[in-house]
Amino acid sequence: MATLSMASERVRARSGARTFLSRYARSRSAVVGAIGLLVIVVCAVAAPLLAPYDPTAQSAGSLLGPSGSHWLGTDDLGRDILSRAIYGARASLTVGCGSAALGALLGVPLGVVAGYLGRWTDSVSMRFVDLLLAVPTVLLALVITAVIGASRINLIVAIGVAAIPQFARLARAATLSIRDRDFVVASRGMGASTPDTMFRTVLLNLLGPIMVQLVITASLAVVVEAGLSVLGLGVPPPTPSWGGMLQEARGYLYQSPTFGVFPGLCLAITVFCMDRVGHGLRVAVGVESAGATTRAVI
Amino acid sequence: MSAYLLRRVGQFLVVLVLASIAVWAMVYALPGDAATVLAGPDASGPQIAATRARLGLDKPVVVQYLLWVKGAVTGHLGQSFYSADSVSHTLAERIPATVQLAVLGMLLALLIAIPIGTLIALRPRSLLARLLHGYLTAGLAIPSFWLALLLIITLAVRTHALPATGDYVNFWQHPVAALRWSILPAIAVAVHGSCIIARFLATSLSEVMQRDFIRTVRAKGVRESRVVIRHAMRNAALPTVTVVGIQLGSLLGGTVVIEALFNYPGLGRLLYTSIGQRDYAVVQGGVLFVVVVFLVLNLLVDLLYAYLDPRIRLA
Amino acid sequence: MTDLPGLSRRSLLVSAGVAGIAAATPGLAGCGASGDPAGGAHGDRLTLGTTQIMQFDPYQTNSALHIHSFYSYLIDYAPGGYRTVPAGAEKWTIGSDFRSVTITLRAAKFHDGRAISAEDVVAGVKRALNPKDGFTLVQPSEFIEKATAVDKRTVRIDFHYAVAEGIVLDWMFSFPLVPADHNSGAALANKPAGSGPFRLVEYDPNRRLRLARNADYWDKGKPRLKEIEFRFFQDDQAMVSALQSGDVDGAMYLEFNDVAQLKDQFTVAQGSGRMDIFFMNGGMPPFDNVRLRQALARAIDREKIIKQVRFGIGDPVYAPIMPGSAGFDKSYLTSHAFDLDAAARLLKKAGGERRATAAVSSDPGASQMMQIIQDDFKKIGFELTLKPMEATAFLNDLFAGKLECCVANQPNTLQSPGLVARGRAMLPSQDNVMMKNRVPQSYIDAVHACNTATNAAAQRDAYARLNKVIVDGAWAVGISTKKSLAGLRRQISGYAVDQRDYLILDNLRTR
Repeated sequence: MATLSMASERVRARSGARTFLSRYARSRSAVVGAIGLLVIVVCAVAAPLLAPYDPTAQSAGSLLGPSGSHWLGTDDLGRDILSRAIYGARASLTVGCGSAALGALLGVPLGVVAGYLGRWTDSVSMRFVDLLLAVPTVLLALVITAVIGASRINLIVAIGVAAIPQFARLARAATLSIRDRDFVVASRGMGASTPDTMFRTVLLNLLGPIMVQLVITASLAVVVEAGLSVLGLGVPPPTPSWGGMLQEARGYLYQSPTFGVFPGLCLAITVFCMDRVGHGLRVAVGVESAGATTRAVI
Repeated sequence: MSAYLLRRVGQFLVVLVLASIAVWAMVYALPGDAATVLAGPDASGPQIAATRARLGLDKPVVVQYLLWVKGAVTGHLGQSFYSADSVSHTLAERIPATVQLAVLGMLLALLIAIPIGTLIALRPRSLLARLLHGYLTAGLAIPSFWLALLLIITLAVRTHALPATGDYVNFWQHPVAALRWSILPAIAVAVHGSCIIARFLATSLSEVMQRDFIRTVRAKGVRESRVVIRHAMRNAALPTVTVVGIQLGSLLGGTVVIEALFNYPGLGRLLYTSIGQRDYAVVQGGVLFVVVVFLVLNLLVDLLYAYLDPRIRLA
Repeated sequence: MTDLPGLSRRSLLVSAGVAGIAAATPGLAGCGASGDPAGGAHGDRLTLGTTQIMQFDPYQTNSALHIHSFYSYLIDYAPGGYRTVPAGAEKWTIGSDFRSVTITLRAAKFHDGRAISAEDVVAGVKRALNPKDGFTLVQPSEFIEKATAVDKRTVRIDFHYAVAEGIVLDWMFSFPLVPADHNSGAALANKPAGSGPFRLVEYDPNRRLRLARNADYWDKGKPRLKEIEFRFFQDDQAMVSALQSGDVDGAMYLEFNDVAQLKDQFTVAQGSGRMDIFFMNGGMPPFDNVRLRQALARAIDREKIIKQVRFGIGDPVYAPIMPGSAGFDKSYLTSHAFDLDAAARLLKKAGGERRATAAVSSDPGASQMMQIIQDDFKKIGFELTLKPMEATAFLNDLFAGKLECCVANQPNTLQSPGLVARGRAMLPSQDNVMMKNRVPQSYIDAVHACNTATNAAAQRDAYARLNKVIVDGAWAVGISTKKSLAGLRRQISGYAVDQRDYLILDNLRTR
């Protein structure tokens, strides 16, 4: 019986996947977002091929305006802004996706365990989740990066920890709703490894909402990473990141507008694309808009 | 209802205690302490040790925490390392600034969001609605701190129209000066919020407008404006209230980056500086305040939800 | 600075793109209403932006810019050099054996109205000699044996050994007058108690510090302003914007990249400042290898750093000795100039590990400076990994001797090159966090020789020894001076900064 149910769930998921793309494609802006995001990912992956210069080479004069050889000019240390912006996608995407993934990896099991075991385990983990939710992400990240230092991995940890609550709540709600369903109870009765069943069933049920939440969290993480960089606590130099470029550019907004405008634009476009992809996913998997609980202004 | 409230308050206290321990553990994990900061960059080892002793930082961490708890129980939140003022006094000076900025930002956001959301919901195909969609898309994508930088450059530095830095002036005493000194940061926080709220409002309003009861009301010959305001809005307000509450909660928690960029003397900047200076008691007090605000607002949103929609059982 | 009256409120608000606020905010762009914290030099009142001011104990700082407004020191130096100007001390005589100085105090009053007496100096010296409470005065005072009050306004200070006149004068320049009953770290933490040109009105550690004219100030006719307000900024760029938009009349401690955009509209004043020094930790690998340190010292491109990070402002230094000091020997700038070929050759001979981690402080420009150094080190085959650190964490690890290498500031050595061993923990003879117990004995001897050289020939010899041992030791490699910069509205004159970077505000006025 358990295997039967599992199989049917799987079939449902597969047929869902078939309609998924057609539903997604119904939103034009979602398609635009997906294409945009793809371009950004390509920029990040193929940066060495696309960037005209080494992003850390201090070769040209500093603060040059846009020209034929440097399309967007150079920064305060004479590095090519375009190349840095292209490479900057790496920092934003790795921190964005990494922290979203970490949030999911920690949050989903927490939610499942809390929902499944209930009682005090549930109470304790949900209070922990409330706590994380109540402390502003930037403050949390500020303290964490001050303790363990600012590096790409540490930023992922800092922002990922702050992203736990959304995933935990999602997973807990889903677990609660299926905990007492027949096949789970039955598999428990048959001595099957219940946590394993739980995880699989919950994940299958949650695939859609988690995907949506992943994209939302990633876009938020991109902004938080950039915000921390503006405060000088982002990815360490000379690795380019958009937030870091914005921070460097703050002193030159007057003399060299392209320096400060372009990284900001890159950020906005990335956030836009992620937002649209999130929207498309939401439509495609039929999830009510999540993400209302995120702190957007940092 | 009262059992529900009791349980919520109980949870609330648990989170508060957890928060106080977590914050304390985290600030003590930070490398360096207030003695390092106060003794300054030219200090030598013995000087830092002397400052440490003067500040009571040479006691074991647990003892320091218990001393703080002892004070907190009697309502004394401790003492800043950097001023003769108590933490409660320091917070009492910063909180009004943050509240004023949050309320102003929220009002501004609502002022922008309600017309936009309504218009998009009622006339989704109009040219204006499309333009407004553009605003929503841009507003959601542009990071608030980038917007802040652009505002500073265009409206303050280049044109001298408004002060580039924010400051807190009591609105009830000097309304004009208060607005002047907080309008730019308020815009910077309002734009993003307005887009989120407008989007929610538009979605729920257009959904409500298609429900049966609206058709019934319309059939009765009620004027369209009345249909929207009296009937549709009331129902659409429900999800929007949640969003507004959460947004307000996050603004009341202080906006670290925005306050830093505008040098606005709010809670976010206070916490940011205090973390940097290892001013343990101030960080502790400030974070607890943020946590309390967040929890209280969550509770209020739930209660308001119940009030607006009596069908919801507070179970 | 001019306002732009031509631009109407309406057009501005519309240009904000938020028409909705126009209705709610009439008259926003109007001039500061009452209660308005705006700057705007109102004749005898100025608002100056600065970084946060944290305390009022003159013993605890040798860099806090506000401190000279509250306290008088025994003497001042005239701007730009080391010509002595009587201040708290009216006159002084150094004993012919260079083993004492007799000081006559000026008849003046503390802010609380009490007359300054010799006993206050005696108590002050006692505190300076107390290693637990003397702070930055402990090391500069170590030559002092005791202070005795001769009469109400005369005090005699005896030394342990004969010291150079410059050392005595530098000490008098650094010695503040504080009432005996208030002279402790705890008493002065939140409240100043001096006899300087201004007294404290209001202090909000997070926002502002307000000072008012001290009517009883001994220098008659000064200060010229009635009130000065310091507004605190965490963020340099916010401060510059505040200056540009007229929120403040002046901005202290500007960053170097601000100068280009400010110099056309504002007066940019330079103070002597401090020095940027590249420190290598001789107490741990790979920098415990002196030949490696010497090799890397040749790969630091001072010209490029000054040009790109300091925007051409500042002079190259080869060691933590300030140009203008008698001990500064500029020939080292050529003999030990930036030379990647030489550095590569030396590095090859030095052997050892070719990688290290450089801590990057949050100081403005520290990151760029380190990136330039990283880039050049890479060219000679030495991998530097940068580790940005939050300000307090950086200081903590620096003082704990945990940093492999970093760029940090070193205060002005004033007249006496021997003061290089004063203050900061990276260069003293004992408890040296960079060299641990490997501080070269020749360095300790040379510092002592500088401090005790009482005639010109002995000084020349001692200074030469000191220079050589610092350059050969190569754990503290000079980069450049780091001037302190201030931007002021054009109407403001009389701004001055002393050799420690303390603001001299008593002559400040507006036109």
